[in-house]
Amino acid sequence: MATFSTNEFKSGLKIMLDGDPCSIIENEFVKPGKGQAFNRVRLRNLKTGRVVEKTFKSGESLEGADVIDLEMEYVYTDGEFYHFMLTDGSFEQHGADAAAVGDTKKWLKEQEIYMVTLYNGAPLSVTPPNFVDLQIVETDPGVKGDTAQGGTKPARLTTDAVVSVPLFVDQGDFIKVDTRSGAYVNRVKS
Amino acid sequence: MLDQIRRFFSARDVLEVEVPVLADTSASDVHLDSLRLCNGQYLLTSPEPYMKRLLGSGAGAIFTLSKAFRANESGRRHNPEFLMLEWYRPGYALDELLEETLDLLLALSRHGRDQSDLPWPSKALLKTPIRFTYADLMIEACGLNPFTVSDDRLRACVRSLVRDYDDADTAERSILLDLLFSRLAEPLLTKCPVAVVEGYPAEQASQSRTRIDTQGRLVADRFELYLYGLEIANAYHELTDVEEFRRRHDSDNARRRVLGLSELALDEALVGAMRAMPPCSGIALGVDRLVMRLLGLSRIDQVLSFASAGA
Repeated sequence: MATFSTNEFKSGLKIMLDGDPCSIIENEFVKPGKGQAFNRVRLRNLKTGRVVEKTFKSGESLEGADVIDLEMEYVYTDGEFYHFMLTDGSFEQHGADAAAVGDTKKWLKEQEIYMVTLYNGAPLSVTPPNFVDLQIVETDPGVKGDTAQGGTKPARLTTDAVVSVPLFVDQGDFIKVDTRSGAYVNRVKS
Repeated sequence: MLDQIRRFFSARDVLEVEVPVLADTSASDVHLDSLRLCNGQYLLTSPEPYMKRLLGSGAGAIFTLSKAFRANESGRRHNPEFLMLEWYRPGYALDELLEETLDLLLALSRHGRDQSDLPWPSKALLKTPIRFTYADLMIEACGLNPFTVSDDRLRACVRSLVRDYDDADTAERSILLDLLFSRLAEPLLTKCPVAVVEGYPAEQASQSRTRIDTQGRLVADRFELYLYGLEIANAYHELTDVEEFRRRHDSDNARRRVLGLSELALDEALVGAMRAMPPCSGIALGVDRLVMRLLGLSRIDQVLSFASAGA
């Protein structure tokens, strides 16, 4: 894998730090008048999701991380692995374990496109699209006529995710959910 | 604003000169990376060598507004190409040059905005900058005296105060001091509208003379001017001792070898100029950064029409 000097650091660059792949969030160049320059870098550890800060002497190099983001379609799960398929027509598939899928599990829907991050060729994390349409499998009966403001009620979706929905929404309805906040957006036609 | 800078110097009988930015050799400072062209020439990191050659040939008081280039310097406060205002005053001591620099800032005050988070300093503040010695600033920032601290204490201090730096146990002393200075000492200056730092250790003299300070320490005869923690200008009581210049050049090159950097040829024309130069003080001021502070802005790309990528 190539190495990157601090001069090449920019947000989005994937590098290895203490054995873990990390993505650079922010890179700040600091230099006292006539002295040594430093790069103060904020990075996200792609394994743990944790954000760390590091200071490097400018000119130092770090090994690049073999990390790529690919758009893949969710196909099925065999109970242990969640299988995704490349959308480029190659039908190439990768199985992601529960750790890689993480919280995205509650937004997994067949034929939907996800961003799968591969590290050394294996799925490291799965990012859902900002919005997914999912069906409600269980909620209290809808209240007719209540389409304006009012209360909300919990609704369980096909993926086992539970979201708050307005009272007029019914079991069997399809709804659009914002995966970043887990919030109901609107009802959609199936 | 450039027009006003020119009028300021013209009223004081300082002659404007123009010097090349393309040169056959470059500054030997270990921490300056020059841009080298495919024909082997360099884009200058500062107009200094040509200005000194003019001084050596009897030009008298001179100033230039010149582009300077520094490879790999890109960030919120750095653009690899920037505008430098540099001037030299034969016969001036550093304090006289500081006074003139503050007069220049005062003359440019009508461009300053006082409505921002970083209001342009008042006349009273510009007349009485807060002065720090390098040592006092470091003592205030991290409780250690950079001239006397033991290596062990210095390393322990870096370990506890800069936890995100991994090389505290192996890096050289000068690098650890630079780290503490940029991470802990410089931020103290952000509260000061106008601050001057002086009394740098002799190893950081670059092309300034050295002197013995009131506490018997060998220090560089130079100062840096800061506006709200942003370094605006760097002034030297200029070195004219040719032998000392050769020694520093050789030691810079020795350090460059250790660090795996390319060595730089001694600029013999500059050596000749130094021999003929009158005693003088000189200062380099970053014009883009000055505009940042006049307008109360925090990023250099906000004052450049065409910033480099990454700035």
